Amino acid sequence: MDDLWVEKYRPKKLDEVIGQKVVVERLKSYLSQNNVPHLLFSGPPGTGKTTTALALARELYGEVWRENFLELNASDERGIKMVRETIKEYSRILPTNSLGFKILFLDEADYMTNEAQAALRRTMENFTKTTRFILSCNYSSKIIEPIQSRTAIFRFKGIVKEDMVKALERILKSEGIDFEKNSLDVIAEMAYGDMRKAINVLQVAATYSKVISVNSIYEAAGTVHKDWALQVMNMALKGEISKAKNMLEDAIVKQGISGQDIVEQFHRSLYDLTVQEDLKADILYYLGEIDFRISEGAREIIQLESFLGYLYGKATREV
Amino acid sequence: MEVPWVEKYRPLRLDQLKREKGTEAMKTWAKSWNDGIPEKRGLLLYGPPGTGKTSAAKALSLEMNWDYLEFNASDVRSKTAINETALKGSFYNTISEFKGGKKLIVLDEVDSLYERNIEGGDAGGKSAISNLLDRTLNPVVLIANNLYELRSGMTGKALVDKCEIIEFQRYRSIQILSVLREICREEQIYCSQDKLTEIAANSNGDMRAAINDLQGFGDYSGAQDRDVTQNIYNIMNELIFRRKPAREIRQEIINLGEDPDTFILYLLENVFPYHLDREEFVAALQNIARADLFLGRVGRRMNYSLWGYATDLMAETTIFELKGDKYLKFAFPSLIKRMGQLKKFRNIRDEFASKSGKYVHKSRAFMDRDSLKFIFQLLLKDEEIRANLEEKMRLDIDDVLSLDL
Repeated sequence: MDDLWVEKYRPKKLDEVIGQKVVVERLKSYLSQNNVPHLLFSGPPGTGKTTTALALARELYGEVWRENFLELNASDERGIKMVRETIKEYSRILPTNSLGFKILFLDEADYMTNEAQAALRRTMENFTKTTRFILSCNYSSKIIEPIQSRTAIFRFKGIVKEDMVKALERILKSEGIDFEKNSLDVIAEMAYGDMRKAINVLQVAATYSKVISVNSIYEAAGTVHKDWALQVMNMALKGEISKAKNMLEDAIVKQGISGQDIVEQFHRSLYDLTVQEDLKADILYYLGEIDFRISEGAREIIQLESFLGYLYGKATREV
Repeated sequence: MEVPWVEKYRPLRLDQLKREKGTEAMKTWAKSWNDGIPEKRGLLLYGPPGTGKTSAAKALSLEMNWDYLEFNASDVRSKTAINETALKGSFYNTISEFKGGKKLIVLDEVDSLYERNIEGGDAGGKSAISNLLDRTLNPVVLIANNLYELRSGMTGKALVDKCEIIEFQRYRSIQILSVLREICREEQIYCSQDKLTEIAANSNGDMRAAINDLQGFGDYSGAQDRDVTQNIYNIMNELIFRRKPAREIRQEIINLGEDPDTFILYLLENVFPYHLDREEFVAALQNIARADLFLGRVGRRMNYSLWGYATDLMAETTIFELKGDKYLKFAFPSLIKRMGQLKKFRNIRDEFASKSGKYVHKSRAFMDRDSLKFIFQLLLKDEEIRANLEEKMRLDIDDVLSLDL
């Protein structure tokens, strides 16, 4: 193994893009006219939005695509400053290609503030001649109406199981790795239409065993998605309060999870706790209480540790 | 932070404990096991916290070349548990046959086991230990703070009679002082004579508390007023053991030159070791959490009159009502200690996320919540990809691998 498979096997041409036939056909009709409008790619993660944008640029510009394509991440550089400076600067420069326009790909556009989106709208209008925008988002509803109406909207669907399995098979064949027949179905099942996730799980699984098996898949997924919150809660419920406290602090310090996220993770994992339903309701109530307190300005660490203490107080005493 | 000094400087030999009489008696008892099963199969070490009981047991096993098998009150609770673990272990000599042929079974904190017994949680524990002492083929050490509590009741008396008994008295200030000096020399830190004397005197004969204190001062020297830390410690001690009326403690918290936001972190940390008294512990945590809510509201609404409620609630955080015998083992808030780390790890993680994000055309934030764990696993497991990505993403690979993803 030498590279991340998500990069190594990223499709280079529109026709190689997996599971988005409708999208690809429509885009190809733009290609034949050598022109594209502003585009809005909307859909869940791992369905090929970035890949499609990159492939489109390659097909439009050939060898010189890099000079005519700028990629920005709205969630890292969000805010109005990015629009006023980076985007505007890029948009006003005249393109050097024969088509007369370049492409600005703005990923995670739904993470932009509304003001930034409003500012973007003006820029999109003013520089349409020189720059075409491709915005990508998970939820098109989070993009303000005026922008939606100025773009051609493309909806990316979750990759269906058969397409996903086929793609994974191709990767393994090219890597020369064997696999148990149903192991790929298991990945596809787990990935919920997210191709990136499927490939990532597959690659981690390949480090566990020479032959991809159902077991290695579960092991890979388990290592990466250990239900940390559930472990901590069970620890406290078992009476091991000091260990639970340590794990909590480790998560904060080493994994950098915010207190608010931890509350959420506890909440999500609560359903998997094997305790009686009425106790679960009590626990849920207390968790809600600390969540509320945190919103009132109370400190996360103190409230979270008191939550562990609460669980500990509910612990069944061992035999 | 590095290893706790109490662990780093834990004596490994009996003579390092500076308790000649007691440790001689321990050795005599231990050697009697060489000639078969002695009359008293148990050895009871009792005395206040921080007087070297556990260290003595560990050192004994090292000197006798015995295996060491420890159960403390949080492990062993009931008859079944003791029979399942300690009793079973007492019959078999496994690997230990290659060593001195024995293993030392140590039951720590046996008196707090009996406190549970009164509440009906650990029924049968006392008689199970008594039974263990009748039948064990391996030496057993019991460790307790309070002999009288342990000896209460018929079973208790019978149990104590099956043991050789050794008392561990509080260390004298001068003994503690000499250990503190030695540590200062080893660690190459400077601490004034006055301060050392003060720590030694305030430790009330508890070596562990004194060493913890010393380490604490080292951590915060310069950064924090030492007297304030000392005062926090005193208040905490009064608070958790309710040595003064809440009203007086409240006043002391107010007069303390430390802001309540910090004080409450100390309080939380110092309550945690006392979780064995479960109900009191949980109640104390509730008080702290509620106090914290008021502190939060002070900050949010700039309503300083709410401070009073927070202080009241903190002053009510008592765990040991009228049990004056114990002494607080002072701890610094572990999260404060680790805050430096927090920033370091966050930076490493951010850099990892943004560099790998560039590589796969995604944002730092996206990587952080979606793909980072996968890439981390690959870097961990596969050398080839590690070498390649280190170069392509320009990662500081040692930093990245120090994360725990």
